[in-house]
Formats: sequence, structure tokens, C-alpha cells
Amino acid sequence: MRRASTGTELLAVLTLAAATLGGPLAACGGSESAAGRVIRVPADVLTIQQGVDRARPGDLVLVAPGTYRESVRVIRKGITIRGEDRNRVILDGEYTRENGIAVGADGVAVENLTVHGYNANGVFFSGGLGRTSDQLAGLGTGDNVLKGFRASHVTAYGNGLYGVYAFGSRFGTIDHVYVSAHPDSGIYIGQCKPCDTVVIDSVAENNAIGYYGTNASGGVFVVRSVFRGNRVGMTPNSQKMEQLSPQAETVVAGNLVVDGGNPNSPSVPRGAYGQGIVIGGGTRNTVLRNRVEGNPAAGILITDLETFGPENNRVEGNVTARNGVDLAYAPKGDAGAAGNCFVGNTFTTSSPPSIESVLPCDAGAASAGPFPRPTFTPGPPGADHRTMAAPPSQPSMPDPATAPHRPVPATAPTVDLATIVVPERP
Amino acid sequence: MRVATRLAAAAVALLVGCSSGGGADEARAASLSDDDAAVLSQVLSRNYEGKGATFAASLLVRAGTTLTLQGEVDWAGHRGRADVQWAGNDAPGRPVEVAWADSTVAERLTGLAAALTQAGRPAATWVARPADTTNGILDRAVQFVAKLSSTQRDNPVLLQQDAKAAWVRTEKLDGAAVDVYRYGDATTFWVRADDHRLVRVEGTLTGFAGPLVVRVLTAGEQQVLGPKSADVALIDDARAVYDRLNPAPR
Repeated sequence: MRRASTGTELLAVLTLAAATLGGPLAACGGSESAAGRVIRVPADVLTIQQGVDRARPGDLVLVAPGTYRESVRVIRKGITIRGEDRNRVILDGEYTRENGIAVGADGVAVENLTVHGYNANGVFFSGGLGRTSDQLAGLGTGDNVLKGFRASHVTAYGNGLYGVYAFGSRFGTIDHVYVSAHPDSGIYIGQCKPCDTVVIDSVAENNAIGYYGTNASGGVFVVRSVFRGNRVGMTPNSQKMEQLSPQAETVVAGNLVVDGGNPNSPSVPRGAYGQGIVIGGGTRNTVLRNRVEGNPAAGILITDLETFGPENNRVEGNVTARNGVDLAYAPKGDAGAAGNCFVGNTFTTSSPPSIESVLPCDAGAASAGPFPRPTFTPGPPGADHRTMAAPPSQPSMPDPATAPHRPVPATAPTVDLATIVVPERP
Repeated sequence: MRVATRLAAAAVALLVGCSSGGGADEARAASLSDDDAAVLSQVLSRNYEGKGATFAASLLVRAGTTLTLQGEVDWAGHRGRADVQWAGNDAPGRPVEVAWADSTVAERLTGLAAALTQAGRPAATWVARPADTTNGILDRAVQFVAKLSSTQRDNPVLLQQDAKAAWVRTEKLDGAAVDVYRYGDATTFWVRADDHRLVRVEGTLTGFAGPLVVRVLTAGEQQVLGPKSADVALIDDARAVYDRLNPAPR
């Protein structure tokens, strides 16, 4: 059903699995239970890494409030790393360490903590972790993929590349995360096909890009989240620098995408600036019932990227206002773009004008173009992510000391798109 | 692709010699570990964060003709300065000093002030002009040095998947252990093993007999002393004199 993402089939019922938490309560104090042991940091072991190394599948590494100056590498399957207090369990990279928590094993969850000051990523899931470059061919598809991951109630800010990054990974949930001050993107899903990954109920602000989805195809849902004050809000896209191009089949639905073009955010490597949602050379994506306002260049833009022309993307039911141009279609004439359409959106300006008449979703009615390409102004130099302010406290997960824990399953999280509506104006 | 990577790495090793050898190193040279990728992905951004360096560079322009630069670069400020020496029978004798800022290059030319005065122009010892990064020998060398920095690091994950990036070998340079990496089509980095600082670069610039070799002498913020504005003539005001004093090839 998710593959047929260009039509109304997308609107069919999909249900967000209650996969995030479940099962019997875990035992405390290092005792065993059906759900696995609880290993307490620093009561049982001094560092998170020691806890991870001691854990077996199903175990919970429960971290007490404190600042942990370490870089954690996870190669044990099926464990959960959880902070007792999201805002007071802090992993600090001090801009000397590479990743906050790097996960290279299936079924791992990271919950309820803060990571900042790492030179690369805050929380990083990768099917290629620990491999050498000659072992990466085909990573992200078939069985050559990390299976099952979750980042939940994680705050990541001021890391050198990405806040939460899933690469070559499938069956993921990123929920209730807050990501800010990243010079590449707050959330990045890359090189997976199918990805079967959901981003939901999350906030990305003051990043170069809020959500980045390069060559992330199949079963990607970015929904019910807020992208505020980034240079660019969200961009599913195709690029040659990653395997598995072109990108396809991401659903961007029910998000609030506002106030792009923030000059006080880090700059985007490619210089993009002021756009809300950009489909860059992607195929069969659906942009559905988002509120997109206050982006000085464009609200929703479909364009080419590198040699990739956008194909069969659908922009439907979005509410746009106060953007440089609300809806824009601007692939190069030779980009091979085809089958893109706009329907049922609320907008004032578009390029080309009357875009829903020029590019309707009724089969066979679309104009072939070419269309004029709006000119976008590059942004000013970016802020240094290392000196940007820490975010305010974020809501912790419920009952972190007693909430159940279990390995993240290798099943696709699903979303009930029928329940997702255009968010209210902030 | 993997075979090509091995061949390329082997070719580089043959060209520069000094391979430490050994089976483990051979296996490593065929690939890039994630630790190697983490180092390589930050070489240029470390330069930017380090703000600048003193450097020496040499380029074998053609058989018997060598261009040598020695000076300072401010990577954060996008400017630099160097003394210029040409060696070889057909080497141009000028300029003797170069300074640059963003895309402007200034040359200090022997005899410029007298020639300008003779031509009825205000005396100046420097000529400023747009950089010619397509054909200018000096300008291409300067551009190479100027671009050895980046405001943002590379993504190590993607670098690992780039067949043009590879660890080549470990060796000693000035008594310190360095790792040698290939970066892109035509650039090789020597990176200190202890602090991951770039100490040597070789870049192949098309059209020249040999690579441009850059040695980073000291790292850190530099005060670049470019020419005073009163000493500079703009190229549009000094074209005829400039062309007479500094004939192509530059």
C-alpha cells in the first residue's frame, strides 16, 4: 500500500504501531525479568559504554542524571539505552568526540536523554558501522541493512553534522525528538530501500536543514512534526553521493513547516535558503496536509537535483501562506521531470501561476512545460553551531524508570494517515 | 570499483615510495575504515578551525622550471601572502611576491614603479587583478593553497563510499608518524597520527610536469601582511605595463 504513494491509496488506513514501548515491566536494581535486566549507570557500571558492553538483548541500560563525557558505540543487539531524565542525562562530546551514540546493531532503542557537542552526530544508526569502505556495496537494501531502531524523546543539539542520523537502516521510529543547531540537518534518513521508517511528533529548529532524506525510499513517513526556523525545512532528495538513487516514496504529512531562511542558523553546504519543503529530484513522494508558512524563498518546491528530475510527486491539501512563492515547480527543462501534480492546496502565489490548473492531478491533463524557474537568493553566512544557545528543556518520556523496554522489532512502523490533519497555526 | 581503488592506491604508493609494506597495511590500503574516514573527513575543517598556517609550496611547471612559494595563509579570512621564486632557464623573473584575498590576486613586480612612472601613471609596486584560476600558473597554485580548508567537515559515512578516498600508508615525516590518504581524484594528504593535523599535500594540477607539493610548516592564526592600498595599481590602470613586465605564461 505504501508503495502506491502517488494516489489516494496513500490515504488508506495505516496504523502507527504501538511498537515504541510494551511488554512486561522491567525489574530494577540489576535483577532479571522477562524483559531483560536493568543495568544502572553509574550505580552498576561507571560509564554508559560499560553498561552497553555488559548488556544482552532485551536489557535496559538506565542512566542516572549527570554529564557523560564519552562516545558510546553499540554493537550488541536489542538493547535499550535510556536516561532517567531527558534534560539532565547529558552526553557531552566537548567537540572532541565523533558520535554521541553510534549504533551498529539491530533492534536498539535510545531514549530520553540529551546529546550535544559531538563532531559528527548525536545519535547515529548505521548498517555500515565498523565496516571498511570495500564492505559497503549495496548497503541499505535487502539484508544488507540495520534492522530495527528507535530514537525517542532524545534532544540533540550543536553536533557537527546531524542530530539523529539513520543510514543504511530499516524499520525505524524517530519520535518525540528535538534537534537544533546542526550545520547539516537535524534529522537525516539516508540510503535505505525500503526504509520503513517513521519520524513523528518531533521538532527540528535552527538547523541548516530540518529533515534531510537523501536516497531514502519506501515506507518513509515524516509526519505530525514541527520544522521551524531552519534554513530549509524538509527535503527528500536524490543524490549520487549515496547509493540507491533515486529517492522515492516518502510521505510528508501533517507537519508545521514555518519560518525557513533563518539567518541565525548554520548554513547549508549547497547554499539552499528559505524554502519550506523541497522535493529535490525525488520520485513518487507525497506532500500532504502540511501547514507551510513564512518561508522567504518558497513554501513547497519541486525541482531537480544533480541529474535527477522529479517524477510523479503529489502535493495535496497543504495550507500555505506568507512564503516567497507558496507553491513552485522548477525543474530544469532537460531534467526529465514528469507526472508531478498539485491539487487541493490553499495558496496565494505559485510558479507557474495557477499551478493546480497547469499541473493537475487528473491523469493526462498536465502541461509538459518547460516552466519559468524562480530565482532564489543564497543565504548569508551561517552561525557557528558550537556557539548557538542550548534549547529549552523538553518533555521527558513517561515513567522512564519503570516503562517497559524490549528490542525494537524488525517490522515496519505504520501511520494512520487518515487521522493526520493540517496543523493549527502556531 | 574495489579493484580500481586498489590499483589507484598502489599507483600512488609507487609514485611516492616509502610504503611501510606488510599484509595488514595492504589490506587497509584497499579501503577506508570508519576511523580513517573520521580523520580524513575533518582534515580541511581542522585547517579552517586552526585559522591559518605558514607554508612552502613547489610546482614543477615543466621540465627545468619550478615555481616556489613560501608564505602565510589565513584560511578563515580567505587571504594569504607568499614570496615567489621561479627557477629554470625559461622561468619568468616576476613577480617576486603574491598576495590574495578571496578572488583577487596582487603581484609585486620588480621594476613596476619605475615603469608606471615612465608611462605617466602613479607609482605602485603591486598590481591587483582578478584571479585567473583557469590558465594562471601562479594563480592556480595559490588557489590550491587557499582551498585547503572548509567551513564544514565531510560526512565520513559518505567519504567511505567514495572510491576516490583511501588510506594509503603510514610513514615518518620529519620524525613524526603520519598517515597518508588519497582524497579525491588528484590530492594526497599527509596527516599527523597524533593530532590529525595536515602537514603535507600533493595535488596534481593538469598541464604541469609534476605535482604541486605543499608543506604546512606551522599551524595557527596568521597575520597576513598584504600590500598597502597606496602601493597597489589596479590592473585596468596598469595593463600595458603589467603585460610588458610579466609576460605570459604567468
